[in-house]
Amino acid sequence: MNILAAIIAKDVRELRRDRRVVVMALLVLALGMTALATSFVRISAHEADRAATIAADRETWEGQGARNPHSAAHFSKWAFKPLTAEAVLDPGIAAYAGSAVWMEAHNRNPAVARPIDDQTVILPSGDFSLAWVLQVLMPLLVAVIAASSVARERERGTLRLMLASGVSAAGLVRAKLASVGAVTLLLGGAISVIGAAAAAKAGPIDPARLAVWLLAYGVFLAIVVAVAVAVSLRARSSGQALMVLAGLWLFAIILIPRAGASVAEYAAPAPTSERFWADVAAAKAAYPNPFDAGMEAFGAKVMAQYGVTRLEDLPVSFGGLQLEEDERLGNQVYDAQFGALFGVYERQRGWLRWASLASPLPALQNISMALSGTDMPHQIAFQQQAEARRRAVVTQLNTDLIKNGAGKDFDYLAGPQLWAEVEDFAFAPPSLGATLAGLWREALILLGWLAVAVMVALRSARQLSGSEQ
Amino acid sequence: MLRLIALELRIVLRDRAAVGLLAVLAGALALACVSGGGLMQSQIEGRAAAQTRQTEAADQMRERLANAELPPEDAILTPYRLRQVLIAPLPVLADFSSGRAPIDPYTTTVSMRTSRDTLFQRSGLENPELLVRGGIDLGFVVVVLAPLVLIGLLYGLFAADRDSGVARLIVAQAGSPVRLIGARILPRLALVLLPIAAAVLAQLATGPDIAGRWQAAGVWLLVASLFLLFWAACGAWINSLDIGAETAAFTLVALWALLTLVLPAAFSAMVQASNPPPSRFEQIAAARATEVASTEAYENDHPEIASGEFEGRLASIRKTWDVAQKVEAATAPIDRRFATQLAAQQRVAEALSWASPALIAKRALEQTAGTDPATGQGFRAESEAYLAAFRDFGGDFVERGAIMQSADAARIPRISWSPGGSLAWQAMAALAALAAGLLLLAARRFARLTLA
Repeated sequence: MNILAAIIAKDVRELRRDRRVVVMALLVLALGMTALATSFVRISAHEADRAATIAADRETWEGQGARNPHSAAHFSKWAFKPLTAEAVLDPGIAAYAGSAVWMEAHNRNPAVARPIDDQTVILPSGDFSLAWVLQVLMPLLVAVIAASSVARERERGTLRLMLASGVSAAGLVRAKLASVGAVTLLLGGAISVIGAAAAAKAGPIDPARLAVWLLAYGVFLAIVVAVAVAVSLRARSSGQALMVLAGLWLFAIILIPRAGASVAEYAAPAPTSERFWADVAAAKAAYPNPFDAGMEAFGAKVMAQYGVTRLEDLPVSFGGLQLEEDERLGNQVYDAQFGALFGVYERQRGWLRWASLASPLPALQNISMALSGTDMPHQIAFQQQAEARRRAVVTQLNTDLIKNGAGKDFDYLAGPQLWAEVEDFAFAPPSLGATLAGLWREALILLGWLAVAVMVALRSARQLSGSEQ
Repeated sequence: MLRLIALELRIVLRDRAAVGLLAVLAGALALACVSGGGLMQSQIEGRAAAQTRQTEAADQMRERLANAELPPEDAILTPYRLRQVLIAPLPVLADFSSGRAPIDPYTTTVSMRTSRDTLFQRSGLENPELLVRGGIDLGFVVVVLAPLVLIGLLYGLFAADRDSGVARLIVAQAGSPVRLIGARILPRLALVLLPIAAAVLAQLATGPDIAGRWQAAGVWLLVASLFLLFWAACGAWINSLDIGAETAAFTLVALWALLTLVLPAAFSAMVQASNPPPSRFEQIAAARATEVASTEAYENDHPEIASGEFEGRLASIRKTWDVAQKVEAATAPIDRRFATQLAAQQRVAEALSWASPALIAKRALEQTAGTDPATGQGFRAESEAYLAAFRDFGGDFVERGAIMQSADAARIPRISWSPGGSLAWQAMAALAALAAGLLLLAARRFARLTLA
C-alpha cells in the first residue's frame, strides 16, 4: 500500500471511529429517509387524487345532459397538474404553486390549490425534502468531517511527519480530498440511490434526467469537499476550521439563496394580486365589448361577411359569434397581462442567478428543480397549456353554438355527443432537451465553481508546503 | 468589571474572523431591512388598491339604490350586483417577521356568487420560486443567523483557555472565573444584539405609522434578546464542561443545527403526517357534480340576458341562489374537514414547537408581528363567516322577491375583525427560564472549577 492510500485508509478509519461524525451521518441518513417517505406519500396521494378527480369530473361533464354550449363553457373543465416521479427527489416549488386551473369561459384563472395554504408550518430554513437534506445538511456534515482533516494533523504534529516522510503537499491534499470525498460519496450516494429507487416506485422515471440530477449533486458536493479541505489546510486549529466552515456554510447555503430571493423581489417586484386583477379588469373594460359598446360595429361586420342586412337572417348564431369575439378580445388582454407577469418572474430568476456567483447552491437548486419537473418554467408551461386548452374548449363549444344555434342562440341545447368530443387536459412537460437548454448558465456556473474550488484547494497545498517545512 | 468588558471588546474587535462574522450579520440586517420594507410597502399598496375598489363598489351601490328610475327588472338583480371587499388589518410588524404575510391572502371580494372554496381564488401571484427559498427578514436573522454568529464569537469562551493552558493561570490567580466569563459574554452578546436593535429602530423610523407598532417592536426585541441570551447561556454552559475549543464549537454548531434545522424539519413532517388536510381536488369535484346536477341553463351566469321581464329574472336569480346553496351544502363537509385538520395541525405544531427554542422564538416573533399562522387562519375564518352572513342577507331578498331599497344599505353586514393581540408571554417566559437555568448551571460549574 502506498503512503497516500495509507493516509486515505487512516482518515476513513478515524472518521468511522469518531462517534460525533457517525451520529451526524446517521441523523442525515434518517432525515433523508424521512424526507423521502413523506414526499413519496404526498406525491402518491396527489396522483391518486388527481386520477380520481379527473375520472369523476369526466363522468360529471359527460352526464350534464342537454344544455346550451355556453352554459357548459361556464361550467367548463379543470386542468390538474401531475407531479412527476422525480418530484420525490425534489418537490421544488410544488408546495407554493397552484396545481389546478379552472378553464372557464371569459376568464383566465390563476392556478389554485397551493399545498402551502393547507399547511401551518413554514420551516425557518427551506422545505423538508431529500433535496433539502442534500443541499443543506450534507454540506454541514462535510464541513464537520473536513474541518479536522488537515487541521488536526497540524495540531497533533503529524502533518510535519507526513510531509517529512516524502509525501508531497499536493499528494497530501489529493489524499485528503479523496478520503473526505469517499465518505461524502458513500453517504450522499446511499441517500441518492435510495431516493432514485423511491422515485422509480412512485412512477416512471427518465433515467437520463436522473443521471444528470445525480451528476449535478456530485459536482455540488465535490465543490463543498474541495472548499472544506482548503479551509482545513489553511486553518490554525480544527476548532477554527470548523467555525470558518460553519460561517461559510451559513453564508453560502442559508444566507445567499434567501438573499438572492430578497434582492430579486426588491429589484423586480411582482404586482400585488389586487393590482394585477384590477389591471386585467380595466383592460377588459377598455375594449369594444361585442355585447355592449362594440355590438353595432361587430354586427355590421358579421352581416357584411355573410352578405345579409339583418342579424335575424344570419345562417349562424350571432350570440355564438359574439361570444367568440369576446373571447378573442379577452385573450389579447390575458396574453398581455400574464405575459408581463411571467416576464417579471423571468427577471426575478435572472436576479436569482446572480446569487449563484456568491454560492453554488442557487444554481444547483435551479438544476435540481428543473430535472425534477418542479421549477417555475414547468409551472408556467402547465399554466400556458391549461390556458391553451381553455381556449380550445371554449372555441369548440362556441363553434357548436355558432353552427347549430342559428335563430336560437342561447336557447339552443347541445347534447352528450358534444360533451364526449371535448377532451380532458393532459400536461406535456417540457422535454429533457428543452429543460437542459434552459439550464446552460446554471451548469456553467456550477462547473466554474468546481474549477475555482479545486484550484483553491491545490493552491492551499502550495502554501502548506511553504509553511510546514 | 467595566474595564474587563472593554478589554474583551477590544480583543473581539481585533479578531478578523469575529469582525467577518459581524460584517455578515450587518449585511444580513441591512438586506432584511430593505426586504422587510419592500414587503410592508407591497402590503400597504395591496390594501390601498383593495380599499379603492371597496369605495368604488360602495359608490356604485349607493347610486344604484338611490336611482328611483331603475326599472324593477334591473332593480331585482341588485343583490347580485353587490360587492364587498374584505381587507385584513395591516400586520404591525410585517417588515420585521414576514411569517406567512407573503403567502396568506389579506383581501378578497365577496359577492353573492362567491363560495367558500373560491373566496381566495385570486390571491397568490407571488413567484413560487422565491417563496420556496424564503426571504431575509429580521426574524430570520434573529432565529437562524444571529445564534450562529454568537456561537462563532463565544465557542472558545473558556475552552480555548483550557486548550492553551491559560485556564490554570486564571483559576490560580482569580479563583472562580465567573466574573471573567460574564465579562466575556456581555460584549459578545452586545455586539450581536446592538446591530439588531439598531435595525429595529431603523425599521420603526422608516416604516408606516401604525397604532401599537412601537410597543410591538419593544416586545419583538425583548423576545429576540431572550432568545440570544439563551444561546449565550448555551455557550457558557458548554464551555463550563471539561472540553476543548474544537469540541465546544462542534457541540454548539450541532446543537444549533438540531434546534434550528433538524427538529423543525422533523416536526413539520410529523404535523403533516398526523393531520393531513383533505383533497382540494375532491372539493372541486364535489362542487362541480352538485352544480351540474342543480342547473341546466346558462342563466346561472347571465341573469341579465335570461329574460327582460321581472318575473323571468327573479326566477333566474332564485335558481342561481338555489344552486349556490346546494353547492355550499355539498362542499360543507369537506370544508369542515379542512378547518378541523388545519386547527389540529396548528395545535400539534404549537405543542411540538416547545421542544425547540428556535421554534418558540420564531412563533413568538411572528405572533408579535401579526404574521403567524393563527392570524392568517383567523382572517380566513372571519371572511368565511362574513360570506355566509352576506349571502344570507342577499339571499333573503332573492327568496322574498323583494327589491333592495336605500334604507337596506345600512343592514348590509360589516366585517370588523382584528387579530387577537397576544404578547407571547409564555414564549418569553420559556426562553427566559431556559436562559436563566443554563446560566445558573454554568455559573455553578465555573464557581466549583478546579483544574488538576
